[in-house]
Amino acid sequence: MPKLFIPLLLVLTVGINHLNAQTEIYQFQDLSHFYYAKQKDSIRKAWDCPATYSRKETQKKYREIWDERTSFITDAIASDNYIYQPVVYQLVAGIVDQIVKANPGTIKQRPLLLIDRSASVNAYAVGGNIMAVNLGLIVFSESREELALAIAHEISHNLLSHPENAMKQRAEWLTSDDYNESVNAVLDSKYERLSRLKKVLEGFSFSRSKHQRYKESEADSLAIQLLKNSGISFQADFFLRLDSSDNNYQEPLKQPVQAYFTSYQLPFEAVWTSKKSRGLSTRNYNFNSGKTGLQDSLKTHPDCVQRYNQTLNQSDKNAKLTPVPDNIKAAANRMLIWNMFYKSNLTPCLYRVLLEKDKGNTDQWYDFMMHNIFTALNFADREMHRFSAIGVVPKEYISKDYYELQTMLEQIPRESLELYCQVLQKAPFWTGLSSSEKGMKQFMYTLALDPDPSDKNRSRVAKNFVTSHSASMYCELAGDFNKK
Amino acid sequence: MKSTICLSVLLNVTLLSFGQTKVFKEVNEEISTQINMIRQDGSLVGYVAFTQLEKASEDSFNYRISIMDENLNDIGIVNFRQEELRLQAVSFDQDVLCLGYIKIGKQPRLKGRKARINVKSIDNAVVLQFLGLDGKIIEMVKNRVGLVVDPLTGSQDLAHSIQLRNVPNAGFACFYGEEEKNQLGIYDYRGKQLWQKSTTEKANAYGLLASADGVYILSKKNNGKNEGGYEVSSYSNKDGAVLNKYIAKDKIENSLKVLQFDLDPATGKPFISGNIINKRKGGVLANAASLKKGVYDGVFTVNFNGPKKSDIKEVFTYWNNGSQQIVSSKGRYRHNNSFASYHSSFRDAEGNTYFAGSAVIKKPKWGSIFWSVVTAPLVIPPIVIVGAGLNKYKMMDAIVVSQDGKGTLKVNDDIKADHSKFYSGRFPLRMPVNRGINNVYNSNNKTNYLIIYDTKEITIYNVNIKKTLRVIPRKDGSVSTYVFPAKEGHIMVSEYNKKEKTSRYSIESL
Repeated sequence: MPKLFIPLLLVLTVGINHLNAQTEIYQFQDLSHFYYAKQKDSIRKAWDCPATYSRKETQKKYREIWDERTSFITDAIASDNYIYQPVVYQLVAGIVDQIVKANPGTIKQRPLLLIDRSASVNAYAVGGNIMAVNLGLIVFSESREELALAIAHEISHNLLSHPENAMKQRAEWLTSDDYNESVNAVLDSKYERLSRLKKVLEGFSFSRSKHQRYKESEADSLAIQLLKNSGISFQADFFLRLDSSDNNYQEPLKQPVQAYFTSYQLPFEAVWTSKKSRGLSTRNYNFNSGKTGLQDSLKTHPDCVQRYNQTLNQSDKNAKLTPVPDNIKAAANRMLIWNMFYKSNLTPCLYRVLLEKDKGNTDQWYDFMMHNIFTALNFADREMHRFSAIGVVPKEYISKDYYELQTMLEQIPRESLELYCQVLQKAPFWTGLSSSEKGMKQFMYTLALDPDPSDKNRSRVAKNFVTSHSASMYCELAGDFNKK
Repeated sequence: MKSTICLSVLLNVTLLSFGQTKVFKEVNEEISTQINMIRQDGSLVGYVAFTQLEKASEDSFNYRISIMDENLNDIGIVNFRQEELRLQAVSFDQDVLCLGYIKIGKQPRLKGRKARINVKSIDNAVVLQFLGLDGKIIEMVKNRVGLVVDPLTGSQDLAHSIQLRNVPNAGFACFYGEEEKNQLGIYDYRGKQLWQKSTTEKANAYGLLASADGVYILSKKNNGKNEGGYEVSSYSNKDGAVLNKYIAKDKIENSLKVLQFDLDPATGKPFISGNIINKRKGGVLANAASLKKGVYDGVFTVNFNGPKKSDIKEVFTYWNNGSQQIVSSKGRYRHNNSFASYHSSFRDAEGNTYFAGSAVIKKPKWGSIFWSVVTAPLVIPPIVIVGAGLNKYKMMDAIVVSQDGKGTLKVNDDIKADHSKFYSGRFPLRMPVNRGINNVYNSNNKTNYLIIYDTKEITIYNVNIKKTLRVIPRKDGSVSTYVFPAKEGHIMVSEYNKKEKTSRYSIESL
């Protein structure tokens, strides 16, 4: 047994226990505007558009598109779209490093890896050797190998210069004689100008999507090669799983909706979950006759079945899959839930909390989020934004339980909502939570229940919170009110 | 989800991002969108966005109808090509949408006196489109009409716009008016005309209601300055036979000023309610000074429990005979020493009628009284001073008064609202405070709500529990807030941020 094994085991055990004990999984300073401030500045300086075209007009357009990309990434960093959370980052970075080390001939430089806070099951390459992996993908992935396929796929896009080529293609097309002639022909035409213009744009989109499909297939092939060189198993089934990634909110709950609330001693009336509206949302409309579920064009990952078929023969028959460690998945899920809450997407946020409870998760942090969601809903109601905070989704896209839940959030009377906030404020779970979370309790009280709804009062309490818990991840929310 | 509302804006943004700005700008300028509410039995069930996309040929356009549910979520899109259309009315029943357009044919642009003619173009028509919830156009019905040309703008329109109401389990009632005649008819859900009636009787304005037992037309015959002149005609749903004509007058020939013509939330039958005009003092548009003089004798409710004369139930409450405890014979409310200028009226689930308006108080103009006395020896100055009025008026809080089935009047509540400055009694009543009052009814909890629009604030008030629920500032920094009625028991809050040039819509529970 290696000498280092026992100390290493101790360090790991302490590390995991530490992660379980603490309820805050990252610090405010881990948000990208702070953590990646230097990288943001260097991207701005380093990303100078290369002189590629002798034709002035094309070069100008290319520069415009290039600068748009620079703004996209620097703005996203400034808006805290990314986060550095050591445990989650290390899992993804570990995969990236494994692939880079095993493919020295192909990958000359380790890419800059960003963890995007989005819940969408996705990863993306922006060129310039930068790639991002969404929290949604980390939570969705069942194994390290599944995650590695997405990472290798994005590295491949960068290696094959797909983002740069797409920018060039767009610049060339927008300054081509063909494009100018077609667009000017629209102006010369008396009739159907919009249809003609759409045809011009669709022509480009079609050729781009055709090219895109080719690019995807090219990236898949290279990704499988990179994985094989790295000793990471590949299974074509991963593509089929990706095909179902948009069905997250079609997953049913294990218990009836009311059971999740009565367990907190919250009064519940069944009538809240049944739609009282006589509106069109309750009717059986069918404008896309014959089609069920999401159309392929609306999916985050189209052509998944095709990709599965194309790569099936390259699957490792004896693949050994390494599950993504529970603590990392839990951390990613919490970050995702917090981000949804912060963005005021309360129904999906609550649904994810309930799905966690279905898994038997008794972590008090989820009780804390339950409290936050209802107080935020009451705050939104006070500000006349309850509807926006719920984000009502048509019944066709969600499970029956999700529909009931959003109907409940919509129809729960104001007095009952206030009662929910009061009961949750006094619930026993607070004893096991950290001081910053207890601080949040006070802060959320001010937003949702304080008889003084003035900005001044909210700003004062927010300032107190930020001063007392300057490193807390919750400063992100309090900080917004502190600024006011 | 809410893409349709901002269709033109989105197209603008998408198109402009592609370069060749001029082309995209010009194409975008041709696109126009109009949002209409979809109603069934008076309740809002959704929205329709009608977009004129482009000119498709010499005489036709490509259109898009985007149908949204009551939560503003898109549920379907229908594209079609037609001659120039303008959407005027929408109704819904039995999973069929009925849309009423006017079709504008080509005609010479006329100006001046010649313009005001009934243009009998071969192309002008009223078009009724019947649309299923599967996105299929069931039927397009065209009825040729003559349009009136606006002498100033040259634009053409019907003399009286299309009105559509669903007739439960029968179809849709449609009313519109040309220069010389009006048309009333019922169409079934397949677009088949069941009957049509032409009338040559002229009026200034019309209202249409339909219930399971009849179709009702409210007409106002006198011009805008005269507050009376209302009639309610009822027609058989079956064949359009005229079953009754109710002249809105009480038994002593006082005219009635109709504040509301709507369906009773409890019975689904039509009613009218408003003020009883004193035939000697009233008639012309009331102002604060005439209120004080007793221009109104009381309030009334007329229930049309069926289309026949025998189905009509009238409730008149007079205060000019001193029979009401709460109000003087001239209409002065004793509890706050004010006169009430009613803006709207509505009914609750218990069969009571409510009148909501503004309290107006009177104060003597001591300066004018003093100077009229001082200048009394002179002839002209005191006449001028007295002629300008010796009282001043001020609009105060909102007031809600209820009338029960027996005609007993009660002050329901005074609701805190903007106050005006003192003003002359000869000014029109609503001029000092531009107050609007809307009623929203929630059939689930049988509750009536009022939305009171003042210059500075919008107040949401629950009539049943007599409580102000919310007070929303109309302008908060660079954000201007507007509130509109929405689906049952809800309001649509629109916030326009002038600084960021963005609009935010939210449908909020009352």
